[in-house]
Amino acid sequence: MKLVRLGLRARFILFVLAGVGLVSGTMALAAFWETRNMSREAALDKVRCNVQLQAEKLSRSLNRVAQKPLDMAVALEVVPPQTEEDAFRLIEGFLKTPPMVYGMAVAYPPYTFRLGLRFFAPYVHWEGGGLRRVNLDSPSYNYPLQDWYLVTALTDKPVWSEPYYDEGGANAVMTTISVPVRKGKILLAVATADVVLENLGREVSLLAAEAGGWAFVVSRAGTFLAAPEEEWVMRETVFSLAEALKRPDLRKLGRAMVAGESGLESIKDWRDGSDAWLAYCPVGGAGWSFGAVVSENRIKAPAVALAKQQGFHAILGLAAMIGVVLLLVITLTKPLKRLAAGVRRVAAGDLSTRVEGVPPGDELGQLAADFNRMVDDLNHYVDELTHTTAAKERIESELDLARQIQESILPNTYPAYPGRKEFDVFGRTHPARQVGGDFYDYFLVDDDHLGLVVGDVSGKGVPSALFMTVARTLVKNAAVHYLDPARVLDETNRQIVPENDMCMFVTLFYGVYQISTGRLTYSTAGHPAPLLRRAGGQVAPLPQTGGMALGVYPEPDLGTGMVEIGLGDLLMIYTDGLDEAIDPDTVMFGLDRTLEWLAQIQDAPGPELLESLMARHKEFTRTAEQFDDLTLLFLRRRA
Amino acid sequence: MGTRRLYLLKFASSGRWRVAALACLCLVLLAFPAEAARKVRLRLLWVHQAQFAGYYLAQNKGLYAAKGLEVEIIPGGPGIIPLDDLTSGEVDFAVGWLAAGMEARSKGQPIFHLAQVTQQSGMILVAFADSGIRTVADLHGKRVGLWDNYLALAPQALFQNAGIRVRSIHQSLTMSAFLNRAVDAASAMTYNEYHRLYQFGVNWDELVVIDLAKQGLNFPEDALFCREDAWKDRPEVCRAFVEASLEGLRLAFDDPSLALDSVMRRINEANLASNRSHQSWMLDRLRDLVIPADKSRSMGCLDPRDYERVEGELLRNGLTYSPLPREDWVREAWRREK
Repeated sequence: MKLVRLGLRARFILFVLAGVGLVSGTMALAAFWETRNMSREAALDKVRCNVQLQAEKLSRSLNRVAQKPLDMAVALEVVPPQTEEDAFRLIEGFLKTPPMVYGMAVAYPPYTFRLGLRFFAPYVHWEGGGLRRVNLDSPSYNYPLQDWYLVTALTDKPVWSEPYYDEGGANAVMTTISVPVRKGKILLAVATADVVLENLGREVSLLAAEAGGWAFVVSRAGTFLAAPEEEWVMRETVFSLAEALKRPDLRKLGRAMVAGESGLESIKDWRDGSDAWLAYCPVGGAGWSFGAVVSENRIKAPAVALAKQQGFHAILGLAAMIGVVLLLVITLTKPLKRLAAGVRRVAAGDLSTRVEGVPPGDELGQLAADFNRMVDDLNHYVDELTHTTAAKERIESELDLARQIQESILPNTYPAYPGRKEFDVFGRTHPARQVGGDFYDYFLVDDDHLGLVVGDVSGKGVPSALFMTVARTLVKNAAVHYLDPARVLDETNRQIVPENDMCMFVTLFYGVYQISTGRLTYSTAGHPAPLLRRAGGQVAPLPQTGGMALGVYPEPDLGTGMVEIGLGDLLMIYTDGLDEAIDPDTVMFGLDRTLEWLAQIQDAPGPELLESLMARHKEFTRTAEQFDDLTLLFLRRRA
Repeated sequence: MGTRRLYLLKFASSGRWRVAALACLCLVLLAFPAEAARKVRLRLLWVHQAQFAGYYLAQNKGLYAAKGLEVEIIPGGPGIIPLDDLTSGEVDFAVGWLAAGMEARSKGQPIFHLAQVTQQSGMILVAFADSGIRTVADLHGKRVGLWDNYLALAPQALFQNAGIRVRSIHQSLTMSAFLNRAVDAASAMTYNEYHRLYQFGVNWDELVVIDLAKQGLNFPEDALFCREDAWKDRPEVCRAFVEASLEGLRLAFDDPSLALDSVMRRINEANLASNRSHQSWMLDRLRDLVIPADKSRSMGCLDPRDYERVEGELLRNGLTYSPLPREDWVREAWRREK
């Protein structure tokens, strides 16, 4: 996988934003969590208080209703009505005073109101704006057996009935408060007040809407008296719903509610299954319970709003942050980009490049100034290099010319004397540089005498070449006047020494070969002794004649040697560039290898011999650089 | 209490209505051609509830109509004595308890037993566990809520067998007296009030149950009755009615959801304080009471041993005065004729 290396800007922005985002995000989260919990607690507290308040309000209004039959009981005890009419009037009086109830009744135990009258239960209720009187004395109704009478009579305390539907009367769901009327231990009557539950339902649903949820009221037995679903009222209890919905938790809550406890529980709203909170509180007096269900979302709402606001601010802040970072990065990277562009241009060869617009004073300014100075230096250097190169080229071409001249002044035709079959002569020089200090020469002194010269000027290059030219000319000149080789070299030395300010010197071999006899007279002024290969294959260097190299001392003490060269003998004159050459391991070629080679050669023309030796030589030195001029001269006597 | 006296009063007052009802019936028979649906009225034992789901489905699903009957179902309730309404001619058929039928018959009411719908007793007495009541004997001198008339026959037999006296308190449609601890024990049906208490937040373990069936008083309850003359004049109508009713009951057990729909519709129309989960419980319990434990027996049959047991208990406790031969008045209308 290839990693994409992001640009400096992108990386910078990324890192800064990640860092800032992480820190501020963590802080914001912590702060949000804290405030969320606080706002949640506050919201739950509000729900709890609200439910408590509503339960108390409801309790107060119920107690006011309950007070009516209680007051009526007092009146019945103190001033018992004597006639049926009195009883009805008494009830009407109470019914007309607030708070409003649907109807009120007084039920007497059988045969207690008046002699001979079994049932008497005057009941007055509102109907169409007026009051309607009913006597509940029907034998089939048999009120002493009705709950509202019987339970109150048996328990001797006020009882709120479970909700019931008042068929034919209010045609509405009602509940009745029944209170016993007693004189001492004797039950005088049961007084009741009927409350239509519709109003309660309306009130409760209004409250619930305010609280952002739904509310309900259940009776002492858990029956719904007011509920968001109208069909729950009277028909369902908390427990029947729990059973139908298979919610044991609801049953447990219901038992807490009917037991008169208050609480706040996290539940699943059994109407829509969402997360919600149920707060419940007893309604004092009636033994009822008021409950409110508020959805978790509603509880969370302030925290969510806060989160949204904080999120919005965070995004704004982050955007501003991005702006600032971008600005910073741009001011930092713009000079860098310019520098990079400058470097690219220079690399492409544009040395007129200058980096402009980087304000001086900081590290980047310094870098730009350094860069510009570097380009200036580079320009300067390149100029110099151009000049030097031009000069070098000129010198080289001149040297090349000099080499050609040097080569041309040495005899280089073969065969050298096509008319003379008695001998074969061939020479060649390999300068270490363009021009060298080695030289060779051969010339006919007269018809029977051949002069042979091989010289090696100290040093290399142009000075040696010039000196060599002088030495060669002097030798040739002297050879014309004298036959004795030592005399020729003495003369040459005499010419060189006085004008040799440079203290250069030259080793020289000069021999005079008598063609007719094969006698060679020679002198070796500091030069290696030539090698002679007899026709039989014996190889030996010529004896040294003694004497110093020319150009140093006025009297070099030169001697003359003489040797007879037989038919087929081969004379090889060489310079120390041959035996002193080294291979890459600095082992010298040496004289032994030359002698070996010389011993095994066949009769061959001069150039071929030379090529053979040079090949052997090259094979030895291989890659080692040639550091000295090398010159070879062959002479073979023929019939 | 004055249960029996009240009953006799009713009986005495119903005599002249019997004549009128017969006249009406004759008029009806004359007025309508034979092919037209025969209109009959059924008095239920109690208010609308799942106990009567079979009759509702027989009506709704056209089972009655298929047999040429147009049945008007009239709910009962506290203070209503279906067998008296039957005798008076107000209705043609009535749902009543076997023991009640026996008592009425022994008192001379001209009624015939057509089918025994429930095979066992569903009646129990309940008390709060914290009241200290554990056995029947514990009820001595206690206030016990009892329903009107024949619905109290079995408990009264129970008290007599146990040799105790209780303070009998009239029990209404609701369990309010019991819940308010106005009584120490109350009557309850396993399929109704017992579960109502649970739906009022009373846990099962907070109740002590005295099961009458386990006290040797396993009185089969719901039975279908008609008047003697109706059976004699039009036995095929009685048979058709019983067959369709039992068929409706089978349908209700097969499709409880359908049955509960029909039950709840009537409950809502009547503004009764009940709910579907309660009716569902009732239908489940009713199934246990209706389907005979002995698989070889059909729905609607009356086990002679049950008959003898009820007859014996009533006699022994002086609730009836003379033996009541089964063949005198039990007609197996549920049995398909060849």
